[in-house]
Amino acid sequence: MTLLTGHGFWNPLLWLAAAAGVTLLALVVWSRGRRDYTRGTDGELPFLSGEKMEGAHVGGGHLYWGFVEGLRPYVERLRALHSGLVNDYVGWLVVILAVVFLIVLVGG
Amino acid sequence: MTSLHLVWQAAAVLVGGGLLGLVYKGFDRKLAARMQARIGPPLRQPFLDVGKLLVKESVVPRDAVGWLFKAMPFLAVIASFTVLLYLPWGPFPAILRTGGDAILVLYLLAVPAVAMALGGFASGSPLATVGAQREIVMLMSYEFPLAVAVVGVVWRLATLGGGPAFSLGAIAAAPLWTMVGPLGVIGLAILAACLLVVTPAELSKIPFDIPEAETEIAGGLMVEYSGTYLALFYLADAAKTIAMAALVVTLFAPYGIAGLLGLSGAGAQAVDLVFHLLKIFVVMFAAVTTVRVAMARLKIDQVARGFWLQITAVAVAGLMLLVLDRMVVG
Repeated sequence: MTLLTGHGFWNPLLWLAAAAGVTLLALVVWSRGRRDYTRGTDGELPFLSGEKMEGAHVGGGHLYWGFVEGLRPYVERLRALHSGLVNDYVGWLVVILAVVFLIVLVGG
Repeated sequence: MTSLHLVWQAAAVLVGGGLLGLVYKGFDRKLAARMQARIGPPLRQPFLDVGKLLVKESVVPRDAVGWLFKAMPFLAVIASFTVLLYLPWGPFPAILRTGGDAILVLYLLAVPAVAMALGGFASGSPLATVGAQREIVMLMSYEFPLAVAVVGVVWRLATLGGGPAFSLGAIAAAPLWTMVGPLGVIGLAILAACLLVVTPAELSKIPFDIPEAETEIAGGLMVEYSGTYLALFYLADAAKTIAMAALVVTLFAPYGIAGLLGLSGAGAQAVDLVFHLLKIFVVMFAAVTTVRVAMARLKIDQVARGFWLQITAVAVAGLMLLVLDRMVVG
């Protein structure tokens, strides 16, 4: 059942067996620990000290904020490439296909 | 080798790896404290921390996606600990040496970061969400130079006839330093340096502790975790630290000293195993402990730009030197 990838190899079933073993060990640790907590208290609220509760919910629209901020120079370059003109997109496709063919034909 | 024998060996590596990870955490904290002219906690402090976490309440936030929030610590533990089974341990080959290669190890090393990010998103906390976003951006940043460093070693080994090239056993059995020319040695040194830079990022340690950033986002993606679930993440981090340092040692310093000392048999294996663990400690001390004492935290955009441009450029330069070495030496 070992999958060969040219120079590499891996056996998913063997990994699943190993994962099952580690899960058992993790469950042993988990069973030794405390799993309960006092319900219905402010301890269940998000750790956002000093903020009003209205601001504590994260909406779906905010999920990409960190990605855009962290990768701003890259995102801005990508955004500039998105001109909305289909001619530009087809141009990119042709150029990239040419590069791929060149690599495949020259590199074998 | 019987299946039962294999199970016992696997259990020894898993339990031993976890304990070793906690011991190394103790040394890390003690040595960091000494470098800052503090006394520091006792070496057994990480064990006490886990014990304490296990008796604390495991709070699940009201807005959390409960099952995902609880499942992610298990996923992090599973990925971190199974990596240990694919790595050679000095004179002893990997337990699952025929079941996976360096590519699988790289993927498994990425899983705990994804698990922490998903746990952070699932907690429904704004601070955890910011931390989770940072974790994913950082993962996307350091994977590129990490892959270049590993592929560089593997490619050069394949050109020299060592194989299967991605097998960590084959890499450990044929250290490249003595098989390549001067250009190759410089290229390997550059790739090793790049991997040492990637190591603290992979482990989210200073200056790459941006996803947690206690003084800024109060622990970030871990902010809502407590009790038993936090203890599981703690154990996953300990195992991942060992796995990452062991990968660096396997790729670039898989040498033993028993031969130099004229030892053989079980004594040689014991000495080489201790030497292997010492090398793992040196990598951890050089790439994690010293760096986190000496540096301040970077910003996430600095990390993304640094890994994508500067560090990747340096890693590619190392790879090109290996290509030139192949053209000169053959």
